[in-house]
Amino acid sequence: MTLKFFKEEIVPGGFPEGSLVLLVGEPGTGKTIFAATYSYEEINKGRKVLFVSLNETSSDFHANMEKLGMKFDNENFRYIDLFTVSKDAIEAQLEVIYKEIENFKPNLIVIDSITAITSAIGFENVRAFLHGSIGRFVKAFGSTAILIAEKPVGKEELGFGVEEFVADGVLVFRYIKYGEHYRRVLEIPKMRGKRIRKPQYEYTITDRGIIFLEVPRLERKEELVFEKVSSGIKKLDEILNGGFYKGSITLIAGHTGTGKTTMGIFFTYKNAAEGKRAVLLTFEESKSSILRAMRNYGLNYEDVEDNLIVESLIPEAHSPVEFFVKISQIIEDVQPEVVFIDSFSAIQEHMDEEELRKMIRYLQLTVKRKKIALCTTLNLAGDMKSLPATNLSTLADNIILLWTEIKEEAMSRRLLILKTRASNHSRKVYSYEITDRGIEIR
Amino acid sequence: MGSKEIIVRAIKTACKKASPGFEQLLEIHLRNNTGRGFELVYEDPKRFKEVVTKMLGEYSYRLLELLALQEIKKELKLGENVNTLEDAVSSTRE
Repeated sequence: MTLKFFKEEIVPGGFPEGSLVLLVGEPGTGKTIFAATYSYEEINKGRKVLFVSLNETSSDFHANMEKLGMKFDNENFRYIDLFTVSKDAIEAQLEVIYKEIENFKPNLIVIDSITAITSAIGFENVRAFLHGSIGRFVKAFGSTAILIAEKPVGKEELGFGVEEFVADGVLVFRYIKYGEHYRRVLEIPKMRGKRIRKPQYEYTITDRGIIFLEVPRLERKEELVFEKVSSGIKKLDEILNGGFYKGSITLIAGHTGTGKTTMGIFFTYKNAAEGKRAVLLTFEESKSSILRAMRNYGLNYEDVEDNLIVESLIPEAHSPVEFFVKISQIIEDVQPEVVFIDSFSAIQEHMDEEELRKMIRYLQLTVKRKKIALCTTLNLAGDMKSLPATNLSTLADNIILLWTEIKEEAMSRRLLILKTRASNHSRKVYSYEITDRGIEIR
Repeated sequence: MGSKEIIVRAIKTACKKASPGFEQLLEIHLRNNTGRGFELVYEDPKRFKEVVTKMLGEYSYRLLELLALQEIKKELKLGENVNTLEDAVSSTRE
């Protein structure tokens, strides 16, 4: 886990030394994980971090962070776990904290949460405490302070209303209910000395910690790619004049039962068998049913499992950003040359148009940057005279149409290459069969 | 009132200052782990620290100690060199 994107793109260079930064958010928005990750990266740079927590015991903190891959057993890290005290004991509590700051001389101080302290010291003392005590201390020592402030669910204002004025930077962590899940966004209304480019940054919390949605960027000078990969079906490669370009998106659109998934299975399997890294992501079936289908076509998964990753995801369990982050993570981990996503229709059912458009665009940029040949499927119904105007059909480089015709009590299957961007292709309508050897085009 | 009573009372006052209900909670913890109540602070301050730290952690124990020492120093007129409950108990025994 890393805050690389945060430190490069959101707050370039990270928080300035001598600054007091407030992290504000409702429960469960990831404030502690963010602060812990920031601390972890500071420790790894050889800097000293003092983490004061009024929420989590030391053993809980260490156990929770270890789950996210962060081990804090380091001489540069000190964790002070305290409990929330009443007004009468707050001075003694601050004495414990100040004494430790004085002895340890940290470069970064985290207080989780400041709300527990400010509510005990009262409105009249909040500004003096933040600006006078904590603020002056960090300025004098060139340290940085991250103060976590709790915001009750549904309440807009923060604490006593003065905290955000005193701080040098304010990060607001929000979640917005989105269908069956939450969309998490970070807003930075204030960061002295830094220019914040966007009003909101979307993020997700995974088992690798906080991951910000990195909008993929194309190099200014885009490299031309002439290399093609096989579709996995010999005859289809001939029709496509050599297969699919790397860095292209292919949409396989068609009726139910026309072999869209089969086409994807052959696409990933055959490329994996040639030594290429391949990923098959299914939103429609379980991994075992994909492996069973492979076996039925005489394809033995064990022969290619080092190169072919098959993953099954449940569309309802992911927000649009989580979807994209998950797919991006798999791409980063596997570094595939070919990817098959089955199906686009399953994703479409759980996203609104705007979210879907954004995800497709990000996916397209990733595919181009990583030079991946990506195939995805779309379920269609009707007479096939028109393809539904989805964003995917506009962004797709290749479109393969599959449909069935029933005439005189017999069903036949048809295939047409509707579009191949920057490549010649056959305009003919082909007949094909699905046999125990896969798709056979005539 | 003897030194033992003053020190035990100071711990109880510190608990009350720290948080409502904390005195009762700590007493249950002490009895469960040692079979003794707050009197343990005078009888075996080292053990008292060990047991309370197990429940509260090092720094919250220090907080409780600081709050108790404020009372103890005031009542028993102990010097500036008394910084811990162990110091306080041994000073009164001398």
